[in-house]
Amino acid sequence: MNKTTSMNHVLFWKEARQVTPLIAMLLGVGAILIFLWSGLTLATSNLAYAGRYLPLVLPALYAAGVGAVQIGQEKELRTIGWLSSLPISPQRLFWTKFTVALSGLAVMWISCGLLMALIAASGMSDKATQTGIGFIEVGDVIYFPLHSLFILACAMFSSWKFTNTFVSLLAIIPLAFIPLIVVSMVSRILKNGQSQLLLEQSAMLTWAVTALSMILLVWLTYRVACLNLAPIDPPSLAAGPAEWLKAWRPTRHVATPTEPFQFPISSLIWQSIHHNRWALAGIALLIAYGATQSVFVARIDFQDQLTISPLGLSALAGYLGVCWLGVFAFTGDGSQRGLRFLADRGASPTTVWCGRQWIGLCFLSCGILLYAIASLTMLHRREYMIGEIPSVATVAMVSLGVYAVSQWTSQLIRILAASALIAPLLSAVAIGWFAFAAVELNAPLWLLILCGVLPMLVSWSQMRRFMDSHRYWVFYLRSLGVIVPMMILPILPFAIDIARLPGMSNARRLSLLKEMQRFPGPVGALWELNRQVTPWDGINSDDKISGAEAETIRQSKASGTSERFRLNELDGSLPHIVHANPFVVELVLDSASFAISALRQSPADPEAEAVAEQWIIDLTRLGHGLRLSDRWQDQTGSDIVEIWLTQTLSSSPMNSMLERDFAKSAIALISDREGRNLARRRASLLSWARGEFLKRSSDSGYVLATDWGGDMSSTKRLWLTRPLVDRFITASLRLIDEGSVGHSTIALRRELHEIRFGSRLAFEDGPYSDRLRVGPSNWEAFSIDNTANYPAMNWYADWENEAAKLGQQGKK
Amino acid sequence: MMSTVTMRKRIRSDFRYWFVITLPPLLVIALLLSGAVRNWQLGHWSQVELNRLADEGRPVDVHSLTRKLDETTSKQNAQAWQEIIAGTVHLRNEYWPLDGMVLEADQLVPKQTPWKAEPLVSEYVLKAQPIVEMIAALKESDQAVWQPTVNVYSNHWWPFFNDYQAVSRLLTMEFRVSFHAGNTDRALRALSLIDRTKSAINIVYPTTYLLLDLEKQQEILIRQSLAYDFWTEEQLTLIQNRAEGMFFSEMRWHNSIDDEQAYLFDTFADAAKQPYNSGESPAFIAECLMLSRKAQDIPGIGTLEHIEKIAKLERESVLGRNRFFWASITEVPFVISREKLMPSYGGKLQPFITQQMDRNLTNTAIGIKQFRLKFGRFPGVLSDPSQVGLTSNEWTILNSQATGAKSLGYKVAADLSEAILWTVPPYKGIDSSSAPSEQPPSELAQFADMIQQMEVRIR
Repeated sequence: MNKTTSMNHVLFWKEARQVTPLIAMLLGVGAILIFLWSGLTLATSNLAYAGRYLPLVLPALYAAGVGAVQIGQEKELRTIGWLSSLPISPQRLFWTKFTVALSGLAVMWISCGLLMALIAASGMSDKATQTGIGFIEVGDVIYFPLHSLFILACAMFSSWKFTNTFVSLLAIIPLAFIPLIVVSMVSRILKNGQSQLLLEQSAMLTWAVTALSMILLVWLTYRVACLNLAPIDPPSLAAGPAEWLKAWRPTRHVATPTEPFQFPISSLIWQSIHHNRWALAGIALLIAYGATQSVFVARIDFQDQLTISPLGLSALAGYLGVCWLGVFAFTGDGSQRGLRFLADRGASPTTVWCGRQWIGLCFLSCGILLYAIASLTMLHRREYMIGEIPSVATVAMVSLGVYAVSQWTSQLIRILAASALIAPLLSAVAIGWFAFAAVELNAPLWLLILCGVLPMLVSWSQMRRFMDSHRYWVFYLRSLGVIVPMMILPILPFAIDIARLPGMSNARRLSLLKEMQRFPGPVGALWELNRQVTPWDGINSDDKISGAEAETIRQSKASGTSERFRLNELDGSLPHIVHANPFVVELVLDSASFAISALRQSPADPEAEAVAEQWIIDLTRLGHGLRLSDRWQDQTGSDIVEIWLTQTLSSSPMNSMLERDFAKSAIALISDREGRNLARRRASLLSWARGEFLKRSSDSGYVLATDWGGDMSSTKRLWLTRPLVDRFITASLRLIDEGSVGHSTIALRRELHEIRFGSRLAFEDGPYSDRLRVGPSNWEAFSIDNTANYPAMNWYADWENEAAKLGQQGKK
Repeated sequence: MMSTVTMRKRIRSDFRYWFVITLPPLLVIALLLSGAVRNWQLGHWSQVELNRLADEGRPVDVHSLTRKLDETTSKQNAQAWQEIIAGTVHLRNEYWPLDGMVLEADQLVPKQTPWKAEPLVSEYVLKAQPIVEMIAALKESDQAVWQPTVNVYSNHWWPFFNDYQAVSRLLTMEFRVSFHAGNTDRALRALSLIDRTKSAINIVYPTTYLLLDLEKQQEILIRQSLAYDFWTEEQLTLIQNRAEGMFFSEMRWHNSIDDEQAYLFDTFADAAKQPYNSGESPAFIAECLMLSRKAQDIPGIGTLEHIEKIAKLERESVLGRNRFFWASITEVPFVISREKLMPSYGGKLQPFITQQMDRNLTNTAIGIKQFRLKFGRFPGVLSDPSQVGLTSNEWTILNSQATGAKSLGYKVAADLSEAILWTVPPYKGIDSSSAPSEQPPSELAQFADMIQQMEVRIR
C-alpha cells in the first residue's frame, strides 16, 4: 500500500515536470503579447478585439499541446515502452496522465482568469470598449472551458492513437470540428420541421453535443491507451499455408532512390521529405485547402456563411498549414537527433540549413501558385466578386513572413508541441505588427520584406549551434535578438520623418508666451451671437401649417430685421466683446445684403434707406465687438463683416452716403489698420495658447486642424497635428509682421497653403492664392464659406487697401 | 571506383530531382515578375494617354479642371448672383414655414379658387420682388457664373447647390402666385427666369444633378398648367422653344465624363502618395481611360441605341480579364473589384435619360394642348399634333427599334374631358421582364411626386 502511494507520487511528479514547460511558455508568451497589446495605440478596433480573446485562447492551445508533450514525446523518445514495463497497471498510467493534464488545464484557466482580471483592472478593456465592441458575451465565456476540455480529450486521443507526434497534432483539427458538424447537421434536420431554431435551443444543442462527444472520446482514449500500454503480443507461432507464404511475399516498398545522389544537399532534401511523410502530406493538404478556398470568401453569394463554415475556416487552415510547414523545418520527428548525426560527420551547416528549408519553400511556392490559379478563376467569374481579395504578391509576402517566423520558433523551442502552438501566435503578432507599420507608419515595402526575412537569416546563422545542440545563453540571446530589429526597423523611417519636422523651439514658445502676457486683459461685457430669433420660433419645421395659422403665430411676435439677431442689444453704450460662429455671421450678412438690394431697387424709399442705415450701424458694432475677442474664429468673423462693409460702402447706393455719420463710423472701423493688426496678433497668440485649432468649441465654429497637411494615417496625424498648428501660428505671426508694413506676403501664404493642404492642391488653385483672395478687382471671390474655413485667407488682401482708401477720402 | 556511366546516371537523377523541387519557386518568381512588367506597361500606357488628353486641353486632374472651370465660366454676373443668393437665403430663413406649406408636388391653384397658403406666399413673393427684378436685370451671358470654389473634393459644390435651389424655389413661388392671379405674362417671365438660373450654373460635372432638379421643377409647373385654360397658343409655342438643348447635348455628356474622370484621377494621384492603396493601380487607371474613350466614341446620345450600347460596354470589360489579372498580381495589398471603383457610365447617363424623358413628356403634352386649342378636340393618336408643329422626335426618340416598346403612353378620357399622357421608362421595356405599363401611373397607385414626374393631364 505504502509502495503504491510513493509510486503514485513519483508518477505525478514526473508528469507534472513534463507539462510545466508548456504551461510556462504559453503563459509567458501570452503575458508578453498582452503587454505589447496594451502598449499599442489601438488605432483599429480589430486589434483591440483580437487582444481580448487572447486569454481565452491560451487554455485551448494548452489543451491541444498537452497530449503531444505527455504521450507523443514519450513515444518519440521510446520511454513509453519503459513505462509500460514497470509494474504499474496501464489504467493507472492513463489516469495519472489524464489527471495531470486536467490539473494543468485548471492552472491555465485560473492564470488566464487572473490575466483577464488584470486587463479589466488596468482599464485596457475600456480602450477596447471605446472602439464600439462590448465585452465578450457571458455565454461564450462559459462555453470556452467546456470546449477546451473537449480539445484536451481530442489531443489525448490522437496522441495515444498515432505514433507520430506531428500527425497526432494534425489529427486534432478534424476531431475538433466533430461537434460543430454534428450540431449543424442536427439543426438542419430540425429546421426542416420548424421554421427557425431558437438561439437558446442551438446553444443547448451545442453544449449537449460537445459534452457527449467528450465523454465518448475519453472512453475511446482510455481503450487506445490501454492497448498501447499493454504488453506486446508474442510473435505468433501459427503454422500453415499463410505462414508459409509469408516467406515468399515481396518486401514492403521503401522509398529509397534507385540511384544515390551526387550532391549531399540532394540527400538532405530527400531526407527532409521522407523522414515524416504523413505530417508533410497533412500540411500540404491544409495549405492546398486554404489556397484554393479562402479566395471565395469574397464571393457575394457566400457572404452569409462566413463566420463558422468550412469556407470561413479555409483561411485559418491555410495559415496553420504555413506555420507548421515552418515548424516542420527544424522540429519534424527526430530531426534533432538526425541533425546531431550530420554534425558529428562534419556536414556543412549551410547545406543542412538549405536542405531543411528548401522543401518548405517549394511547398509554399506550390501554395502560392494554387492561390494564383484560384484568384484568377475568381477574377474571371467577376459577377460573384465583391470588395477586394489579397493579391498574389500579398499572399506570397505574408506567407513567407509567417513561414520565416515559424521556422525560427521551431529552432528556438525544441518541444514540438510547444513550437507548433506558439508559432501561429508569434507569426500572427509579427504580421499584425508589419501591417500596422505599413498602414499607420507608412513603412516602405522593401524594409518590411527585409524584416520579414530576418528570422530566416538568424536561423541560418544559428545552424551550427543548433546542430551541435549547443543551447546555451548565446544561442537564445542571438535567436531572440532578432526581435529587436524586427520591432525597430519598421518604425525608423517614420521616426526620422517626425524628428525632421520643423517644430517650435522651447525658447520661441517661451518668448511667445511672454509676449502674450503683455496684452491687456478683456475690456467690456461678453456678448454671444450664435442663433437667430425668427418669428416662427417654437414651430417644428416638419409641421405642415396653413397660411392662416402661420399668420397668427407671426403676429404674436415682433418681426424686425436686425432684431432677428438681437443686434440692437449692441447699443454702443458700453464696449462689448462679441463671440460668434462665423456661419451665423453669414446669416446676418445675408439679411443685410437683402436690405441693400431692396434699397438699390427703390432708392427713393426712405423706409428702405432707414433699414439699410440701421444694418450698417449694427454691423459696425458687430465687427468692432468681434475684433475685441481673443478667439481666432472671431477675427475671421470680423474679417467677413469688414469685407462686406468695405464692399458695400464702396459701391452704389451706399457710396453716395459716405458723409453721413453711420458711414463715417463704419469707415473708421474698416480703415483702422493698427487696431486690426493688434487684434489679430493678440487673438493668434491667445488662441494658440488655448489650443483653438485642436478642440471643438461650444458653438462648433472653430476650424479644426484634423484634416490639415493632406491625407495621412491616423497615427501620423496624432504626431503631426500639433506641430502643424505651431507652424501655422508662426507663419501667421510673420504674415502679420510682413503684411502690416506692406511687404509681399506670397511666400508666407504659400507656407500656409502647404500647412493646410500638404501636396493635395496646387497653390494657385487654393484659397491663399490671388484667385480667391478678395479685393476691389476681385469682389466676386468673396465667399464667406471659404473665409471661415481657411484661417487667415483674406488677411492683407486688397480689400484692406480699399478700406484704407475710403478712410483717407473721409479725412479729406 | 565509380564508373562514368553510374556517375552520369547520378547527375541526371540529381538534376531531375532538382528540377522538380526548384520549379515552383521559380514559377512564383516568374509570376511576380510578369505582374510587375505588366503593371509597368499599363502605367506607361496610362501616362501617355493622360499626356495626350492634357495636350488636347482636356482636364486630367483638379488643377486642369480648375483651369477649365475658370475659363468656361464668366465673372460678369458673379457678384450680382452673390447678392441675389444672399437675399434669397435671407427670405428663405424668414419664411421657412412655406417649405411645409407648399410642396413641390402640390397642384397649381387657378384663379378664384381658395388657396390656404395664399396670404403668406403672396407676402413672401411681394417682399422678394427686388430679388426677382435683379435676376431679370442680369446681363445676358452665354457662360455660366464663376464660383469661388476650392476644388479639393467634388462635394465643395454643395453650398452653392442649396443656394441655387433656394433661388429656383423662389421663382416657382413667383410662378404659382402669377398663375393664381391669372397673370400669364408674369408667369411666362418666371419660367424664363428659371431658365436664366439654369444657365447661370450650367457648368459641367458637379452641377448635373442640380440642373436636373431645377429642370424638373420647371417642367412639372408647365405640365400642371396644361390642365387649365391659361396659356394662349402663341405662349405655348414660346414655352415649347424654351432653352432648347442647353443641358442635353453630346458635348455635355463628353464633358461630364471628362470632368468626373479628372476628379477621380486626382483622388488616385493623391492616394498614390500614400503607400498601400490599391485603388490607384495602373491597371485600374488604364481601364478607366480605355472605358471612357470607348464610351465617348459611342454616337447618338439620347437614343435608346446609345443607352443599350453603353450598358453593353459596361458589362464587358475593356482591358480583358487575363490582362487585368496579370496586372493585379503585384498590387499590394488587395486586388479591388473593378466594378467597385469604376465610374458607372450607365449611372451617369441616367440624368440625361431622365431629362430627355421629362422634356419629351412636356413637349408632347404642349403639342396636344395646342392641337386642342386649334381644333377643339384631343388628337386621336400621338402623331396628330405634328399638324401643329410637333416633330416626331419628341415622342419616338426613346422608343425601342428592336421591341417596338413605346416611351410614351396616351389616352383620352371616355367623356372626352381630358387626355392623359405618361412616360414609360425605356429601361423597363428592355432590361427587365416587366412589360411597359398600359395604364397611367395615377391608376397604379404611385406616390404623388412620382405621378407629378411621369404623368400629365391635359384639359
